[in-house]
Amino acid sequence: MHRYILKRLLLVVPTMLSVIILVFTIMAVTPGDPGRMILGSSAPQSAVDALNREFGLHEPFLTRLGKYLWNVLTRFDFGESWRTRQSVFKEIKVRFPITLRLSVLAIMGQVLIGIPLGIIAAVKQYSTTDFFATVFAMMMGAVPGFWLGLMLMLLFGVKLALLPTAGLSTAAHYVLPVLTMALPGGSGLLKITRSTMLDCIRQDYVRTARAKGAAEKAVILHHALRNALLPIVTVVGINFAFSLGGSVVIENVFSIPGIGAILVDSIKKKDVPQVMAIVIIFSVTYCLVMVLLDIVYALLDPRVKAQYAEAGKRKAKVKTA
Amino acid sequence: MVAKELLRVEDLYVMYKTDMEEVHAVNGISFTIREQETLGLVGETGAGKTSTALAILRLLPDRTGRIPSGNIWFQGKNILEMDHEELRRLRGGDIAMIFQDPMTSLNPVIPVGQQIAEALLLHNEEGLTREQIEDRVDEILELVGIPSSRKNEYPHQFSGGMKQRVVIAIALSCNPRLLIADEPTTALDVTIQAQVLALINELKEKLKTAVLMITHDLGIIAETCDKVAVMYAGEIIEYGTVEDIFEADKHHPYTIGLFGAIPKIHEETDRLEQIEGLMPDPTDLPPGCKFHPRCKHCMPVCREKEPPVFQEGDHLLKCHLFGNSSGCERNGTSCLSL
Repeated sequence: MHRYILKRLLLVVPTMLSVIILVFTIMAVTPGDPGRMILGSSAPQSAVDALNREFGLHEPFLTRLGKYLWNVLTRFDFGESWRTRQSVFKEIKVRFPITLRLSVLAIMGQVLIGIPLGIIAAVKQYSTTDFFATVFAMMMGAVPGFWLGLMLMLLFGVKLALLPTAGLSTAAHYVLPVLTMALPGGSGLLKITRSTMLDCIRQDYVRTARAKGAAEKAVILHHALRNALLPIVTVVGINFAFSLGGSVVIENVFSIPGIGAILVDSIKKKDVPQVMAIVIIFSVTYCLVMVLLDIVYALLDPRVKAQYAEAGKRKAKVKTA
Repeated sequence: MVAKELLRVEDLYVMYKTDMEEVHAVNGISFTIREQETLGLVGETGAGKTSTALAILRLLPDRTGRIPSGNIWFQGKNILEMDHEELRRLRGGDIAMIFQDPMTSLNPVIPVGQQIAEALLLHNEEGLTREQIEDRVDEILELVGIPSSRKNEYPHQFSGGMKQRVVIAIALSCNPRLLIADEPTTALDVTIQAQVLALINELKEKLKTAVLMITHDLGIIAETCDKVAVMYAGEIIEYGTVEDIFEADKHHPYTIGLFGAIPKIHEETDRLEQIEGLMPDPTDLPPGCKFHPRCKHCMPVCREKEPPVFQEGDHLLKCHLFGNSSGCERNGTSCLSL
């Protein structure tokens, strides 16, 4: 089991290398002149060229990529932002926690909306509650996030004047952006919870539990839900990773100083070191969430745990042979 | 001395209703089980055996399964009129059930010891402490032949036969008065079958439990049962002691057909005899005797009238061939147990 986790953590390294190479290449082949973007359209061409030379853009692509990788791998140096001339982490340090906090709150919201409603919808299949839950899930799944954000803003911020619509200065400021991120994700979670629960409550072991004399609540929560959790946890993990990246749009709508705003800005201005650093942060978080998911699987299902242990043993045998 | 009556099923009907069709799974069956008695319920697949068992515990699927009429008396109380709490105490406590497929009837994410302990906790009338329950789990596991050191293992770590032992351990943990064994050996291979049957027989003696043994295997009936009911298309068409079913002269043509399908050790045959045709579609049962489309002795009356009950001692037959000796009405509960 420990060996398995270690192996999964080591796998993050090649994944990150691939991500770096891929994004670096995309940034290199897409059009745009960083020097011109920074100095503006009225600056003389000689100044633009000088600046680009300073960024090392006169060198061939492979040399640039090699230098970047060398700096990252040997000195953990991600460079300076081309726009601000400060370490790329200066802004990330301030902004990433904001995005992270939003995403965590959004995931908690999703879990609180999706799982209980999904369970009720499954237990009372075809009831009115199920009907409304399913219709709600379909609506939220079909609506684009930014539109939902704008509509919530219009309703609660403008018409009812109950909640603030921009920034994040008080707890009330969090309500609308978190809702905007939680509702669509929560609806997906609701649907997957409903369908896996429907599957699980028809299993023989659930009938065995009933035949033992277990109360209905224990049958659903103890016997059925524990078995349904695997796919549910997967969706929670994927939604979390997705909401980190997806927060870019929501941050724009609600004018939140998160990491999304500078990512978009940096891409527009072709600030390569800044884009790289942000994408790397996103990918590392994503990879760690996936490793965490694998660990949670093992905790939830003894069969998965046995598989991990088995995989570890096989590896050990090959080594000794 | 005749033992006290434990379970009496009276004129029970079970129906599965979906938007498309109505399936008539059980059509007016009646039988009794006395204390410490083993009743075998035999029949082809689809005869309504499992539906009968599920109806006794009220475990029919919520949305589709219905019991339109009938009574199920257990120790003087009607199970069909029990509320949730009474049912909860009945299930696992007074009546326990062993299911057909041990591979799927244990919860894969809970250690087997806990699954047994759960049953004990749910019916903890003596107020046992946690340690006492753990001791009892060890004891029950040893009783069914599993080392108690394995109680923290999960179902996937056990073989099929071992899993069925765990299922039996769960069922017997609370000393039920009645054990419903729904094809307990169908999913197991022959050597394990024998072990599991021997185990059920042994525990039945030890714990003085009555058993409703559901099977399609006449060998199992011969080995374990006192009384036998043969089911066809949701009806009991023959009922009697094991001797009646295996040795009496008069039999329902269907029972004869069932016996014809067993290979005989002293005769050489190329093919086993089979009952021609298939069980009637339970959504569209034939009028008259439900067996008439497949019966070799079919008479005109069989197509129109439901057969009366013929009785000889405890041996009951529902067939036009033998007429109506006791003069009771069809499906009448006055006809003793049928």
